[in-house]
Amino acid sequence: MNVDVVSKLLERFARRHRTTFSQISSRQSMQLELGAVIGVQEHYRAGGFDIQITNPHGSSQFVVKTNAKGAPWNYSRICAVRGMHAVDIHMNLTVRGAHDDGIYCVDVGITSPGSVPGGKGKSKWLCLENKHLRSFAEVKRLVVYPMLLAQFVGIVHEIKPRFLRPPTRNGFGRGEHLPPTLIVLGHYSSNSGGIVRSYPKRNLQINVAENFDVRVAWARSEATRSPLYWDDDSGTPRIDSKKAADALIAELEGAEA
Amino acid sequence: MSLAAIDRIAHELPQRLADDVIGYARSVQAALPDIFLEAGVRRTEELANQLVFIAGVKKLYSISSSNYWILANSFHALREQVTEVRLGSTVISRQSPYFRDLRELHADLLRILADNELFDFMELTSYTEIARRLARER
Repeated sequence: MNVDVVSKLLERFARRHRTTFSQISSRQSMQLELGAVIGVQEHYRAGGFDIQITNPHGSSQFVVKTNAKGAPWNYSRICAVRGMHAVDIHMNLTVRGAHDDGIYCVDVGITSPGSVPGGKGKSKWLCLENKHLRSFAEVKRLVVYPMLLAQFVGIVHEIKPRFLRPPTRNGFGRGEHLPPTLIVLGHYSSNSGGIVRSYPKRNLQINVAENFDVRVAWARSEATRSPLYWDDDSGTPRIDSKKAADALIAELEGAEA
Repeated sequence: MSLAAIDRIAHELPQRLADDVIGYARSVQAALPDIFLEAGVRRTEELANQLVFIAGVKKLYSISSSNYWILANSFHALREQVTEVRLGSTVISRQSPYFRDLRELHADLLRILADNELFDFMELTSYTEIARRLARER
């Protein structure tokens, strides 16, 4: 590898795409919010749930809620149904804490169906009552480091502490409802992978989806794969990276043609 | 030296992305003693420079890849129920200039990486393995 040659090529590349990089810089947090809610939707689709999207005003525009402000009925929501089981999926949902009157905002809220109002009522809607929140997901644009994991466990403790003590709740996991999940763009750093692997032994029903961008691309090729779980518990995707790279380049070139 | 090369590339990026790229390359530079030790590879200046350079490029690749694929896969997952996505004040569809620009950016980067035999390093997550591979290829 000639660092000087590649460096000059990449300088020219960065200069050529400067405008797009500026747009990425201002939008990437919002795009990640979108990626997270779609990841949760695809987890349910992979588990055999039928997916129905409801957009505000009945339009075909998916409106992403990018922060805690704003009424939920002004944004898109997703309904997942499998037989007698149904949940709604919301973005940046305000929810009452499990222990006190505190109000928190979860990046993706998985709720009992119809528990979040679909329109403005007579009184002001503040937040979802805790009992209606089935589970949730948080998303971070970071590598997974031990203190990030500790912070997430703390969030679960405040919002859904039942997932932190035995007995393990039935109906949550791969192919089932999603337990509290930390979605992260980055990889495991230092000993964080070992910490996560110890969660089941400690009866912590928490899922960590690291390398999320890789997972989404990986799950895309097969609708029965959840992007929030690898194929097995090895913690690595069972894919041929060379084949994946070739397919990726071919797909991009095909899209350009 | 290679941190300087990453600096020059990052200089062309918006500040926030530049900070991400340089910060990541610096974190790998700080970890070099452990990486070489774990890899069982003798440290040379050339290898150290290549590792730091690859780290910066990996971060650039990650920015490009994740932003393109999250949108592309969202459109795929939303299927026929949705024609466009609103993110704040921005509306994006498969046909919108922003999505087209993202695709061109990512394809352009992939070609540079493939032409210069760097793509394989983007797929490797372990710097120990990258160090071993670089040492073997010398």
